[in-house]
Amino acid sequence: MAPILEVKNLCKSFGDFALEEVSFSLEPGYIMGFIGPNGAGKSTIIKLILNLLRKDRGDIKVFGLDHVKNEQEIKNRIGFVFDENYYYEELTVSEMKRIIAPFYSNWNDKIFKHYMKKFSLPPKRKIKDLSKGMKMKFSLAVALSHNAELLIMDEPTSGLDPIIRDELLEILGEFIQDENKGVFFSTHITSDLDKIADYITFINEGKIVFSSPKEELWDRYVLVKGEKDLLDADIKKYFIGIRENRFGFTGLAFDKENMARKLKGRTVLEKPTLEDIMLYFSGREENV
Amino acid sequence: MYNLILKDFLLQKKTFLFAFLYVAVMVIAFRDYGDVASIIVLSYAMLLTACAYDDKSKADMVLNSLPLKRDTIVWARYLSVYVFALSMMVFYALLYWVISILPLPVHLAKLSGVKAIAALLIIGFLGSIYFPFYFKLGYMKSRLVNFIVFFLIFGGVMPVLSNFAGSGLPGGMSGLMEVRAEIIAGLFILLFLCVQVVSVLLSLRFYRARDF
Repeated sequence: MAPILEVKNLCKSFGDFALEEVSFSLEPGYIMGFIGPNGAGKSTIIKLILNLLRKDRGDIKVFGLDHVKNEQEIKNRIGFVFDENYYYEELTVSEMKRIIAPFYSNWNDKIFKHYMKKFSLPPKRKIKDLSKGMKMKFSLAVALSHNAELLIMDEPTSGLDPIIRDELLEILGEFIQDENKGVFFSTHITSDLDKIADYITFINEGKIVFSSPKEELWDRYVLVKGEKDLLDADIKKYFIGIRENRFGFTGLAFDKENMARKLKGRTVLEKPTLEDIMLYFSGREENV
Repeated sequence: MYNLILKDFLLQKKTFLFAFLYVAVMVIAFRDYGDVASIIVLSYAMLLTACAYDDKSKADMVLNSLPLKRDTIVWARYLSVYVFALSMMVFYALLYWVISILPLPVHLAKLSGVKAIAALLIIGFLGSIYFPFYFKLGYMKSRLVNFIVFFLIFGGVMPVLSNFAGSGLPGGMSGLMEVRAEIIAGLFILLFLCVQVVSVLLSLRFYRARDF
């Protein structure tokens, strides 16, 4: 089956910042977490996918279709949730729905009402009077009410409390039960992705550092804790990053099997979290 | 496109309440041409308010994420100018009717067909001047153009209309207008159409190339 989202050699330059040869793909039936520090290029890539920004070079295909040539068809099949509210604050929830719904050929009012009820969204309340969590839920209700096959979400959980975040993750879990659908989910709250993501794509300073199944990351990388005198030049070359303190060191290393052999019994080897991986990758030069 | 214009009306429900006040001021300020003046000013105010709401909500992000062509957004803006003007005419006609049946010492000018067409042409022209800047620069950066267009309304269009109402046509033009009124009207319409076409083409080009 063709990827639901495919980005190849994507380049975009802004003068002081550039995306360089960005490539990754997402198969249907999976959730891809898109992580990276602030300013790494996550929102830029999402805007490029939605053709809100024009690319300099490269290919973007959604459902196997070119994202510019087939823009309307693609957007009819995409649901989006942004990091902040871009809906008209002066309109009520039902007025905003009334404006948006006719643009989608597959809009289903029953599904919308279902989510309105599930999320306890008051239809007569103005959007400006909704809490941040309610605004996100409204965006999500809109995104889920036209039978979207791909959800594109830019930091949807940013600034939300753990209960609302958990509700969102549960909805995404339900959504992905249909194996023809996919979710592309950018965030810097990596604990959310620890729970639900199948693939992780990590971007730093406009470049993709890796894009792989989450489970492979656990096989590939290991968090090593030990005494500083173990860190000779031969060992250091296996590390992505090392943090030292007066008691010892903690570092992220690749080639887990080799590390286990070389440092057998002298260190503690742990499974890194996505946050560990992100932190060490984004600060490699400073730490090694 | 209907939905985009509907959105502008829903956002500006309260504008109609303020319209009463505007009309009263316009009638006093521009005598017999208070009808055209109020329709132009109110329509242009609605247009600017609609653009300001879009800017405040960063609506370009959402609108361009919907299955909607950028061209449709541009066309809807141009069409909305005339819909605003027509809605203001209906509002003015209602107000005229209400005032005429009430025993009030207020006189409202009657909106004739010619004046209605003139109002549509003028507001269409003003929109044509403003929109290319709006679609190129966005609302905030095009505020200077707003200022110039408002100056055009109050410093240019309104005094001319008042002259028409007060002492007839401006000196030197009256003879010409009497003899060749139809030709001149035709030339004005042709000029208006040229400005409108160029304006639409520029706006489409600018908005297609915008990054959000």
